[in-house]
Amino acid sequence: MKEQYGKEVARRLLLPRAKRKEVLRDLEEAFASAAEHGESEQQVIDRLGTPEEFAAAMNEQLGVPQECFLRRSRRLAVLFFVLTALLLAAAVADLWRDHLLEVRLPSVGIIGGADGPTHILLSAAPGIDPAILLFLLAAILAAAGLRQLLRCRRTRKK
Amino acid sequence: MTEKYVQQFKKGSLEMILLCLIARRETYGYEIISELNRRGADILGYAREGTIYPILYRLQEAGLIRCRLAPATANGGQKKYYALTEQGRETLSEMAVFWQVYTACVNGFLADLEDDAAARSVAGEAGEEEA
Repeated sequence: MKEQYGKEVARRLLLPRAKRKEVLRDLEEAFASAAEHGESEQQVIDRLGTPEEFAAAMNEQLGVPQECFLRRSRRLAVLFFVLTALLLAAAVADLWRDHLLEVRLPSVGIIGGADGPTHILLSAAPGIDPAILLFLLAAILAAAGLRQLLRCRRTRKK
Repeated sequence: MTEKYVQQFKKGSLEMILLCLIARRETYGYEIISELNRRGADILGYAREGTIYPILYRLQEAGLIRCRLAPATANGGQKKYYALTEQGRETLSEMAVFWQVYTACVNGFLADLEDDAAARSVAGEAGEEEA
């Protein structure tokens, strides 16, 4: 129950990272100390109010103004998406270059007598293709951008 | 109707009350909240973490209190113990002096009001006797 409570609060806290960590730590201590004094989790929750109420009190007392928070989230989202686009472009360019090389290779690549199977073996070696890395990075950045956008929407709903 | 005004009084004095509690001995969040509720829940309002924590954070940021984390004996976690800083001690004693002057001044206004009411009722009785 208290884990669920903590998660619900964490989801709604709009605080600078350090402050947010502190609030969540103190919330944990509130439950632990109460248990030590024979209070049940339900009693603590009755005092704290709903996770929405507790988080709102913290945001109101300690948070940066909602407008600033929204603006920052939006900016971060845009930045992440731009980086995603750049990485995707780089990945595609890399694939395209590989493709060009592959097309050209049969005519050029007979150097040293390399035949078909050797070439396929090389290009199929995992972890070597930078395009895969670029795609992965792009996916991570896209996820980060989406997270910021979702946070914006959640903030605005309140 | 009065609720709104009473709220303002409470808001102004809660910081000083917290400093008083912490000044007596090193203490932690849960103890502060239980002590507040034991002594003054019906007057100060029921103290909750959501009200008290932000004040503690602000007092700490202002350098009036400091905290240290110590392992809690009963559970595996840690407890945050608050203590007054030197600056906090000075501020508290200045606040205490001001509070005395302040309440005396406010009480003076209230006393005037009571005097007026008493004078009116005396005058009223005198009028009745004459009639």
